[in-house]
Amino acid sequence: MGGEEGELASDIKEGAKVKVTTDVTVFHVPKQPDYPLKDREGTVLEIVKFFKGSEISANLPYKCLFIDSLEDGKERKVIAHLAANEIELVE
Amino acid sequence: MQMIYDTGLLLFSAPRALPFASRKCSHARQPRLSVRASTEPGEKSLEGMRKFSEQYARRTNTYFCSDKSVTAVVVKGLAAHKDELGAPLCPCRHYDDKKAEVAQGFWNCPCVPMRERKECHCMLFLTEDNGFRGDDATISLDTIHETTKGISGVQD
Repeated sequence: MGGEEGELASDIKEGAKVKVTTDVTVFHVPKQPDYPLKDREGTVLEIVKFFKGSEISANLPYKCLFIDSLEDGKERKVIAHLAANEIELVE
Repeated sequence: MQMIYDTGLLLFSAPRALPFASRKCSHARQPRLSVRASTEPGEKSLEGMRKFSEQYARRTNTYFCSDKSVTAVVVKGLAAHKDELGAPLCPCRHYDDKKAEVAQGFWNCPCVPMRERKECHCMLFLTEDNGFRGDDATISLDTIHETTKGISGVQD
């Protein structure tokens, strides 16, 4: 993995549609202990880099929203933080 | 496993009441002193972070390090930040602006990488497959005191 910790991608802004390109598994999704993110597409909700003018040292600065359609017709929303080298812009 | 301990200095502790300070009036002039707060945490915070660590490890099915002094230093650092900043900011990182970091919350324990990915670079919470993990997630206050004498727990 290249790049500095917390580095930003110049082409990915808040609101951008992105796709997860690396093997990332998260464990905080209710009723889904191992939730793989690879190849999922989502939206950048926030870039955690600045807070009230001060730079923040978050190493997973891209806070993204992923929405799943479940079998019962409901939606499951998953919010996860990712690094710049774990996502790519979806045209 | 070679452990490298931070020999962190115990800075000046808060001064006791000065003998010449007036107690009659809260607006009485006090001599100016430049004092840096100690990073040595209070017992209440230490016990609070100790209990939190045990409970959170149980909840996440994670373990403490086989070398409990590693756990102890981190718990102490969390308690020190709790006292200093009002929140247990991760003690294993360097920050330019600790107050901003606490307010934003990414590195408040349990930090985002731990909450979402079970990645704890402090080696406080270790997953089952981690080669450095011990067999349990318990640590006593005595162990923390004994193994962290002279160590602040905070990486600055």
